Amino acid sequence: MLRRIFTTGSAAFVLAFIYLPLLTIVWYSFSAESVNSFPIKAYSLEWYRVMAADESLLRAVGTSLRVAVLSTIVALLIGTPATFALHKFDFPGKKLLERIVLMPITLPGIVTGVAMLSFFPRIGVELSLFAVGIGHVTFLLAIVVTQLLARFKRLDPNLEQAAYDLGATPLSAFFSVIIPNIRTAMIGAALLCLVLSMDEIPVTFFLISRDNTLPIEIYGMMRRGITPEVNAISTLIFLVTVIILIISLRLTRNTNDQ
Amino acid sequence: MTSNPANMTILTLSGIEKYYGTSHVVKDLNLAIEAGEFLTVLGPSGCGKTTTLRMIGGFELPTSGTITLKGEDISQLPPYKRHVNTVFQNYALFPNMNVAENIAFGLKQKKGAEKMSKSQIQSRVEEMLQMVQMTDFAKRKPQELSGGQQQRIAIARAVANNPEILLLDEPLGALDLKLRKQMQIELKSLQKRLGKTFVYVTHDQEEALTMSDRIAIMNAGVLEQVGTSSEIYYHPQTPFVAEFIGESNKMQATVAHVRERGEAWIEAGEIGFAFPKELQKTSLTSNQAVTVFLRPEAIRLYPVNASVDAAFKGLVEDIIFVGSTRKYRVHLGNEIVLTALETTLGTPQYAVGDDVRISWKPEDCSVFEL
Repeated sequence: MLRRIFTTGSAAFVLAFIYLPLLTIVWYSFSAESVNSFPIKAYSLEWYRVMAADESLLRAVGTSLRVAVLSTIVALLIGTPATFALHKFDFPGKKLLERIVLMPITLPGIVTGVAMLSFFPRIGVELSLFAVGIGHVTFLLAIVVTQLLARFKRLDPNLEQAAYDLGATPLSAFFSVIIPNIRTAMIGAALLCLVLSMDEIPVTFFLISRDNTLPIEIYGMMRRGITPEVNAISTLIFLVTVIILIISLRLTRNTNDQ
Repeated sequence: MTSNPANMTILTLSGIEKYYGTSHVVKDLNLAIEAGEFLTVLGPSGCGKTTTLRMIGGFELPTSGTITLKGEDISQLPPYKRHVNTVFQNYALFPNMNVAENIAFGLKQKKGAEKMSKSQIQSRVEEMLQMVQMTDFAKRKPQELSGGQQQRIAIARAVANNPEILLLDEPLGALDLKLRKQMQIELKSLQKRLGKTFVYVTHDQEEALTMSDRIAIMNAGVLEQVGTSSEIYYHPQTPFVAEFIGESNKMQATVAHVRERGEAWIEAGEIGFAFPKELQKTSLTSNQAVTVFLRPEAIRLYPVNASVDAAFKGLVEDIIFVGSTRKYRVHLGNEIVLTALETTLGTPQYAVGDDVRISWKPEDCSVFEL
C-alpha cells in the first residue's frame, strides 16, 4: 500500500514537473488581459485573433513548415537507402559509423551551429534558409538512421531473399518488399523529424539570414516581453506536437506487432 | 531424346567448396540431381546441408566448383537469374501483400518475352490456390493464416514461377507433429503430380526416409552417401551413415584371420562370425580393427535350448516397451550389449534374467575398417 502511494506519488510529481508550466501557458493563452497575471479575471480568444493577424509570425510559421518538410524529405531520401546499406553490408568500422551518425544529436546544437557557420561559407553556401535546411538535415539524418536501423534489424532477412528468389532485382525488391515493410517506421521517423525541425533553435540561429523560422521569431518577440500572443502560439505548437507524437507512437507500436 | 526424364540429370554440383572465413563448411561436394526426383539432403545441424541448398538457390556463392542447371553454369548467377525457387524455413511470405499478391509476386517480375498479362497472372494465381486448396483465402494477409496454411501459400508462391527445381529448406520444421506428417504426404503427392524436381533439406531422418526418392547424407561438410531410403538404411557406405540412420548396435571388433576366398573371421570378445568377401566394402586383412554395425531388427532371439547355427549365448538384461515394438537388451559377456526388437503383439517371449540364444545373418552386418 505504502509502496503504491509512493510510486503513484512520484509519477504524479514527474508529470506535474513537466506539464504544469505547459498547462499554465495554455491557460494564460485564453486570458483577456495583456499581461500574465493570476487569477485570470476574464477569458477570451483575443490573443488567438491577434496571433492570426500577425503577419511576420505567420510568415515564420510558413518558413518553419517549409524548412521542416523539405529537410525531412531530404533526410528520408538520403537516410533510407543509407540505413539499408548500413544494415545489410558488413565493412570495417561499421559499429563506429553506427555511433558516429548519432553525433549531431548528442553534440550540443551550439557546437554544430558554430561549426557550420564557419564551414559553409568556405564551400560557398551563403547564410540562408538553404543553409538552415542543410543544418537540419544533418541532425535529422541521425534520427532517420537510428529509427530505421532498429526497424531493419527486426525485419526478417528472408523477405528480401524471397523477393530475389522470385525474380525481383535488388531495386525492385527494395521498392516492392523492403519499403512497404518499413513504411510505418518511415512515417514515424518523418513525424519525429518534422517536430524536431520545427523546434530547432541553436543550429538555425547561426545559419539564418533574414527569414525567421517560428522558434527564432518567438525568441525575438520575447525580447519585447512575454506577450499573451506568445502564449497562444505556444499552445498551438504544443497541441500539434502532442498530436504528431501520438500518431508517431501508434505507428511504431504497430510495427512492433508485425 | 529424353523419353525417360527420370534418368536425365537436371542439376550437377561438381567440386563444390565453401569457406566462411577459415571454416570449411562444404568439402568437395559432387552430386548429380535427376529431373523429377525428390532428393533429400539429410544431416545433423551444421553439416552444410542448408549452405548447399543456398548455393543452389544463389544466396551463397561457392568458393570454388561449379553448379550446372540443364547444362548452363549458374554458379555465379544472382538468385533472381536462376530458374529455381525456394520454400523458406519460416515461409518468408510478404506481410504487406495478401495471399494472392504473394503468389503473383514472382509472375509480375517476368520481363520481355516471358512477361505475363494481368489475366494470365490472375489465372495462374487461381490455379496455384486450387493446387494447395486455399482458394477461399486469396484476400487474407499471411499474418491471419495458421502455420500450415502459410506453408501452403509459400509452396504455391514458389511453384507459381514454374521453376526447374523447387528448393525446400526444412519447410515443416515449425509445424507440430500431426500437421507435419500430413504435410509430408501432401508434399510428396504434390511433387508426384507436378513431376518437378524437389531438393529438400531436413535433419529429420524419418521425414527423409518416408518422402525421398533418394537421400544425400552430409556430415561435417562432406557428402557421405547418396542412395534410396533402403540403400541408405540397409547398406550404409560409411560408419557415420550406419550410426546416424536408424538405430544400430555398434561393436568394436578385430579380424582374427582371413580364410580362403577372402572370408574374414571377425571376433568381438567371445563372439566370432564369418564375413564373406562379397559383403566386404574393402578387402579385410588379418588383425585389422573394425567396427561392426547391426540393426536391432536383424537380430533373432531363440530359447537357450534351441539348436541354432552360429548362435551366441546371452542374458536378457532389460526389456523396454516402445509402442509397436519391444526392445530387448541382451548381454553377451565382455561388455557387449546388443539391442534386439520384437513386435509387441502377443506376450513377451523372454523375461529379464532369462538366458537366450542370439543370432544374425552376416549380410545384415555393416563392417568398416577403423
